[in-house]
Parts: sequence; structure tokens; C-alpha cells
Amino acid sequence: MNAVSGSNLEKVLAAGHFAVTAEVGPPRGPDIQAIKEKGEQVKGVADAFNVTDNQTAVVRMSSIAASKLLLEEGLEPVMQMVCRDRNRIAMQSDLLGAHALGLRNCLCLSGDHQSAGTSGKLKGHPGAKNVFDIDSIQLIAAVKGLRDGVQEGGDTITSPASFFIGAAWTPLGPPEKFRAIRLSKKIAAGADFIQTQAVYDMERFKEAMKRAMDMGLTEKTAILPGIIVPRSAGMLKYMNANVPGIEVPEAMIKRMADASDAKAEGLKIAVELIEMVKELPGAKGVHVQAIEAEHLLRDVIGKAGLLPRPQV
Amino acid sequence: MIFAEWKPVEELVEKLKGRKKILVAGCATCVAECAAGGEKEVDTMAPLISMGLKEKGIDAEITTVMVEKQCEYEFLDDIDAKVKDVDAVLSLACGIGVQAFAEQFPDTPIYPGVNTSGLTVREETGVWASRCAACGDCVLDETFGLCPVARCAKSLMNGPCGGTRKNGKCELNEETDCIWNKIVDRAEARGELETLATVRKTKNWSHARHGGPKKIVREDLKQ
Amino acid sequence: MNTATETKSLNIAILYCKNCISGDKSIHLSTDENGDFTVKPVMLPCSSNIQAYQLLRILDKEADGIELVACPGTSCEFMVGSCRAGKRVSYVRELLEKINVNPGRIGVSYTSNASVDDLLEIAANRAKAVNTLNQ
Repeated sequence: MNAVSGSNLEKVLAAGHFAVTAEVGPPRGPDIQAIKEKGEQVKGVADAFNVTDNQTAVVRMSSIAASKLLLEEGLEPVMQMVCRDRNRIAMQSDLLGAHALGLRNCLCLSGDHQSAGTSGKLKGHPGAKNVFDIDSIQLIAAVKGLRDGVQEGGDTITSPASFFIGAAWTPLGPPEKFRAIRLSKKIAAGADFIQTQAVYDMERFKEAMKRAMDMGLTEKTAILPGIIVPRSAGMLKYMNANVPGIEVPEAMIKRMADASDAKAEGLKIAVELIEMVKELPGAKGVHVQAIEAEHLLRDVIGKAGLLPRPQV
Repeated sequence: MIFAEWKPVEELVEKLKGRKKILVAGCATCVAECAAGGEKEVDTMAPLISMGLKEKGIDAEITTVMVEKQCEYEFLDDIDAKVKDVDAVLSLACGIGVQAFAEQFPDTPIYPGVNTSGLTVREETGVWASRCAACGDCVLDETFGLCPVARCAKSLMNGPCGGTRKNGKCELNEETDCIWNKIVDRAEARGELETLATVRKTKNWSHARHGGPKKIVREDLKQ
Repeated sequence: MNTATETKSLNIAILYCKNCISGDKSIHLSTDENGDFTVKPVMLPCSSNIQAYQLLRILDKEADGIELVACPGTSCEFMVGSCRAGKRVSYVRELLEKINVNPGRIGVSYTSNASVDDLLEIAANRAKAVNTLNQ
């Protein structure tokens, strides 16, 4: 991989370090302070921090703005961009703007359907018109195009906008036989790094990684398996039943249910999973999430022996 | 066929409040197929409007007419007298039919009685499902006869998103198939899974609505 | 009709499947003892054939209330007829509710070997339900 964007994440990977990414969700309001506090909490625990783009179709501070605020706090953001809300004109324009603001990582996603925003207590915007002008793979290609100085439509731009391009992978989602092929398409389109859906069933994930490796994909991109810190047996059960692509072994649910201190057990499980990922052939890092509990990240990542993060 | 569903009948009654003589006009083609604007539906709608208005203390005269095809001007010629006799028309035809009607009878207020919402197939009696989005750029040969534009909630062109459920349904709801799951199954059954490995370039949406209102002229057919 | 006043006698249409009736299939009913309502019996070959538009047309122009009398459960001659009848009546009731007309104006009864008296009782119950709406 030639250095393309100069992002910290890219440099860490290029130097052969086991990379760590985490996530910071923007607030449901214009509060700069909220971002700063979250940033303060997780500063230094990861090489870069994903900033979600109206995740689950809930309106939040824009990914670009929140990313820029994190950058000002000394954290490197991974700006997420979904295809639901903008067409190729708006996306490319936002990418140019993001680059001008100093953002260098972009994770390209399809995006949750707008109907997802009505779940839970929120009304959301189920009547919104979605866009999906281009899909996540076409977005990867478009970001790659900007890096090469060419817009999606073929016009050149005044100077290249060099991003380190990320994509997602749900290896255990159906149709499983196609998931490695889909990964290969993302890589062919230009994905430099991959963050996966949360892994709990390490055996099945290993098989998926093996398929990717046999196809030569792990050489062409940096795969960062996703780990979500479990908080309770109920949470694991819920994710197993309701979150597509997440498979949680029964034994793990039982382990959490039997634990006298579920939160401590969850941390232990997360640490064990990260340790396994570190040994996993083809994995170049880990993407760690602690949903609504970012304060746990330092502990989990530290206990997994991944702190301090390398300075590159 | 074109799919339409009745507008909420209470909404129609409310809109028709000021009208004394109303013609309920059906169409014997698509909307008859989808049980929204055929003869039966016209005959169901008419007494409902009558009763609904009566409930509001309005005695209106409701008449009915079936048009073979509301979207063809020549069929509308036949009902000239009936239309001239009323002060409003409630059309149960699709949006195309309603507009042809309005064009033919510009002096008569017309109310759409249905919402036209798609191009569907009748999967079984009483069940209809989307099949075509009229995108103007058909790819069905490359997707094994299953349309990702109309049948994927995100119109994805390069395979399924991460939202496919364990049972092969869409993240949207349990009733909707993940169409990419089905496309992959068919591709595999035919031993052609690798054809889906090519990155499909961005779609040109200008062939349909996004290119502006469409007008097609076939010189070979035009008189 | 729903604008009927207390002084007016109600018209109740009894649409009955011929297989629900014991003895003579073509029955004659007129008014009940008190003269609160008159009954118009209509024999059907099977309740499944009745359509929503027919029921609505009757409610709009001919009767204050309708009772559709069908065979119970799976005893329908055509297997699913009475089940369909029930669905159609539910559909009509839904529509009536939407236009603010009391859905009690129509109902379905399932019975077999019904006598004239039984039908009269069914009609009386329907008349009662219709009257509820007028109050």
C-alpha cells in the first residue's frame, strides 16, 4: 500500500502495527461540548475514531462537522458517509469540503433505511425520501476517483482529494457464500481498509477470514474485525436475534447470564475476543465499540495490551 | 401492471362535500386487476360516498360509469354525456387515467379516488408486490430476472447490504425478501455466481423521472 | 337509514344461505309482533357469493340493517363460503366505520337448521344494534 492520504490510520497500518479504531457518535444537537467530552474520554485509545453519519437514520450532528471538531481536539476521525441521504453531487462536494477541513479517512456505507429511525422512542423521519443514487461500492469508487483527481462523472478536479478509504464487511450475514465476493468488489473499487460487523462467533469468523485470505483479499486491504463490548446477556441475545450479521454463540450468552458481575464479564469477553483477533491470520487491527459506554474503551483496549498507541 | 389502492374513503367524502352530482368512474384495466377501480370497486365506492355524505347531511346523487381504459382518449369520448351531467367526477383510475380524464373534460372537477403506487405482480389472490421501478435502464438479464432497483429497499446494484436477516429477509421488515439474497441463490443455482463479482458502475438515472418528464416520439408510428 | 327516527319502523334485510334453513327454503317474514321492524328475507345459494358492493348498496338504498346468515365453520357446501362471507362483512364494517356510519348496521350469524323464529330473533338483534346507532 503506497501512502495515499497521510492519515494516522494509514501510517499505523503501513508501519505494520496492529491498528485500533473506535467509534464516537455525534450528538443529537449542536453541542460542541458533548463532542469534546467524548473526545477527551477516548483520546489516545485508538489510532482513529469513526464518526457515524446519521446512524439508524436518526438526525445527528453531521459526520463532517463532528469529525472536524474531533480533529481540533487532537483525535483522528474516520468520517462515515452513507448513500441514503445524498446524491453523487452532494457526496463529492462534501468529500472535497471534508478534505479541505483536514479529514483524511472516509468509511463508505450504504446506510440504514430511513424507516430504522422510528424504532425505540424516536419518531424519526419515516416519510423521508431516500436517495441511494449510488451504492456503497460505487461510493468507494467515487472517493477513489477524487483521490485520482477525477469526479465520478469524468471531470477533473483542481487538485486530488486523497482519502484513506474504508468499507464495511458483514461476513456472517446471508447470503454467506456471497459475502467474500462482495468484499472483493469493495476492494476492487478501492477500499484500503475494512471494518467488520461485530464478531462474537470467532470460529465462524475465522472460516470467513480464511475464505477472504484464500481469495488473496487480506493482502489487498487491511481488515479490522469489529468487537462490541458486551454489557449484558440480554444485549447479546438481542443482537443475536435482531442485528443482521451478528452471531453470538449460546455459550457466550450463558456465560454472561451466569456471571455475578455481567459488566466485568463483558469486559473480559471483549478483551479475550481482541486477543483472538490479534492472533487471527489476515487481521490487521481491531475496531472496538462500547455502545453508549465509551468510557470502557480505554480499559478494554488497555487490558488487551494495545496501549499506548504507536506514534508514527 | 400499475398498482393503485383506494384513498381513505373518509378523506374522499370530506373532499366531495360540496358536490351534488358525482360520477364515480372506474377503469377496466390495471386498477380492475388490482381491485381498486374495477366494476366491483366502483359499485362499492358509490354507496359508500352516498352514505358518507348522507351522514354529513348532504343528499348527493351518485352515478357510476365503467371506462374500458381511462388513459385512452377514444374511450373517454363515449362517456361525454354522463360527465356533462355531473358536477364532479371521482375517478378510480391510476394517475395516468385521471390525467387523461382531466384533459378530455377540463371543465369538470376530477378527484383521484386511488393512490397509484407502483408496478406490481399479483403474487396470489389479494396479494400484490413490487416488481418494476420504471427506471428506464433494465438490468434484469444481469440480475437473474430479479430487479434490485424496485425490490431492494436501497436499490443497491452490487449485492446485499449488511442488513440481510438470518432468514433471508430485508432489514426493513419480516415480510420483505432481501432480493439480493434471492439473486445470489439463482446465480448459484445456475453456476454463475462469479458474474456478480464485477463492480457495477453507477446507474444513469436520467432515463426515467430524474431526467425530467419523459416524452417518447416514435416517428415510425406517429401520424 | 341512520337518520331514521324512533317512530319509523326499521327495515332489516336477512340474507341467508339456503343451507342454513330447516324445512321450506323460501321463507316469508314480514314484521315482528311489535311492529318495530320489518324483515326482508333474501335467499342465497351460498353466502360466499355475496359481495361488499351488494351489501353497501342495500345499506344505502334499501335497508337499515343487514344480517348475513351463513353456515357455521367448515360446514359450508363450498368449504370456505361462510368464512368468506365473514371476511366481506368485516370489510364492510371497516368501511362504514371510516365514513362515520355505525358498523352495527351489518353483521353475520352462523347457524344451521334455523327456523323462521330463529331468523326473526336474529333480525330482532340486528334491529337492536341498528337502533343503538340512532340514539
